[in-house]
Amino acid sequence: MPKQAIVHHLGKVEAYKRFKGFGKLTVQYDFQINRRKEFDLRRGDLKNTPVIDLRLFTTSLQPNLQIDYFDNFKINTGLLVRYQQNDAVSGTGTSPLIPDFDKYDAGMYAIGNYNLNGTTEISAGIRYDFTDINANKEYNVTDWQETYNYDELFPEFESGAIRGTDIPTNPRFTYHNVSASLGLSKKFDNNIQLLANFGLASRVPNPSELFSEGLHHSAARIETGLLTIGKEIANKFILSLEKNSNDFGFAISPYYNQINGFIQLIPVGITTTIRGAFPVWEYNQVAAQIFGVDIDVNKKISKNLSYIASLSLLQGDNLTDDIPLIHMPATNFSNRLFYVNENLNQLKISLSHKTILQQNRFPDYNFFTYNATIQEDVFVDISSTPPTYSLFGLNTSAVFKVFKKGSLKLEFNIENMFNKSYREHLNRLRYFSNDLGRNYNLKLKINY
Amino acid sequence: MKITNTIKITKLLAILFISVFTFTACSDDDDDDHDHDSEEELITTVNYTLTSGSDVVTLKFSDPDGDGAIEPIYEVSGDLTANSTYTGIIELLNETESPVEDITEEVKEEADEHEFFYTSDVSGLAITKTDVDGNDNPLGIETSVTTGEAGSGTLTIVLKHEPTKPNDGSSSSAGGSTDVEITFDVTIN
Repeated sequence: MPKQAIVHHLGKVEAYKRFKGFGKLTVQYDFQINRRKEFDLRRGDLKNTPVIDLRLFTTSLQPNLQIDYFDNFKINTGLLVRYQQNDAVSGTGTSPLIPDFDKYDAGMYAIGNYNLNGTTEISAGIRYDFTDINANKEYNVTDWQETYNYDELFPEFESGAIRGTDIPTNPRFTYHNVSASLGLSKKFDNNIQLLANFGLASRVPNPSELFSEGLHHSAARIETGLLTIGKEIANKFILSLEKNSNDFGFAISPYYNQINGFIQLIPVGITTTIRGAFPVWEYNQVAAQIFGVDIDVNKKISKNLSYIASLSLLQGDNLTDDIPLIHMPATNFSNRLFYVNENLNQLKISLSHKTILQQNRFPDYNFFTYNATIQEDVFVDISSTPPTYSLFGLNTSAVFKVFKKGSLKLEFNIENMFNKSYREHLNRLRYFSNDLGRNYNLKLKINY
Repeated sequence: MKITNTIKITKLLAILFISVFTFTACSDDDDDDHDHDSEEELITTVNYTLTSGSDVVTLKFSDPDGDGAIEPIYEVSGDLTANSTYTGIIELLNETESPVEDITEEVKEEADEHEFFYTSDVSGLAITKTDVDGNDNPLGIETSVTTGEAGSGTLTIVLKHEPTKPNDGSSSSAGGSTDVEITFDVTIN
């Protein structure tokens, strides 16, 4: 029977010391150990052996110093030191989904907030990160040499003699990242505030983007990583105009993000295996831009009744190929009406609605493939998006006093109240089935 | 002071608590020699042999490196004779292991959890499963193939793992997980 057995340990210790007139030093140490076993239908002696058996250990130390010595200038500085180890535990009889790796991270940052005058504040920050990934992976020889040309690109990664159809390799990557941010906030009359922010940030590729290889059973597709993937570097500008009065507020936030080396996963064709044909998705990098605007409005209608609305518009472009960017959220808007009565057991009742429009801006990665069973070429439409849909929900909650000083919070929610059949284009299971239907849930939370 | 003692004890307990887990992480199932497992239950080869007296036709599927870069090969040794009856035997092998592993044995041992489905679009070509599992439901390692008039088309073999048994004879309604789905081009002469 397919199932998962997961054991997860997590521990954290935090300590602080206040230095009067100077600031506060906080140190946090944490660790997590995750052992995941996934079981599937297997034959013979392997019946009770997991198909996937991974142990991920992560530990980090984060000291942080807040300096409030200066009147109008607050400084926050700190370090991060982290170690992560992934071990594909042997004995499964399958190639590991993610290879064994050791990952070291070290970073340092400093952020400053300067109060220029009563209404204006400037903030600036800078951060440096170092990452080292050291992995051990067996590649199929034909893939290593012919498909990806890695024998010419990364000969230094070959770590041993070829064994049958496999070659052992030891890929090692080191990254240096600099991030920075600059921000300005200005308060005006009538509770209006303007915020502007520029940020430079880098993201290091993660192990699945580098090393993925093989059939992803839950998504019925083959995913392939690439060792040539480098880091993403993004430049982001955000502007936000806000008003926050007692009974009315709004926020208009346009943004523009330009990303070099944007990592995406795109469909490239079909491959045939003994189990039949599966689509193949590959990771690659392009220059991209994402921009849009978020608008939020809130209004207090009466003492107990309020209304919130929001609208999100977004456009993503693949600048390298001059086509829309894949997997971008579609335009969506939502409304929410809610009633709150503090005197009646903190009763809250809210009615919510959300509409997601059909995403009409998407890249066309459709292709033809030969279907051996009917001996014909068929058209595979892997790109078209599902239609617009609207969902409605009801959320209610109340709090009761129990056990002398304790409280019981009762929550009753209905999601997708009208049981609408829909598919969300960002959900990769949409190729196979509809999304969730009507869902009732009851929550009890006891504080004592 | 009492409070300081409580803090001291809490600190000590915290340190002990953490060390227990840190040492558990470096436990005895670390595979330091990185002896990586190869795919143990891969099916790399399917041999479907049809015999009618001295007339033998073999349909062979071979994908030596599993899901790797080398594309699978389909080989049909010859044409089938029209208006004949063949006895069919199917064989599943894992040729990445040495000695070659016979997966058909495992399928036979777990017969009630497996079923083969044979379909063809060649008119007059009928394939019937002649063996059964422990519950008298069809299995399909052994088949009987009857050919009609000359023609050509495809022959598809599907192996389902944990299908619903009994079923209406079609692989789609039987459900379960597909371990084999291969299509051969066949000609009847």
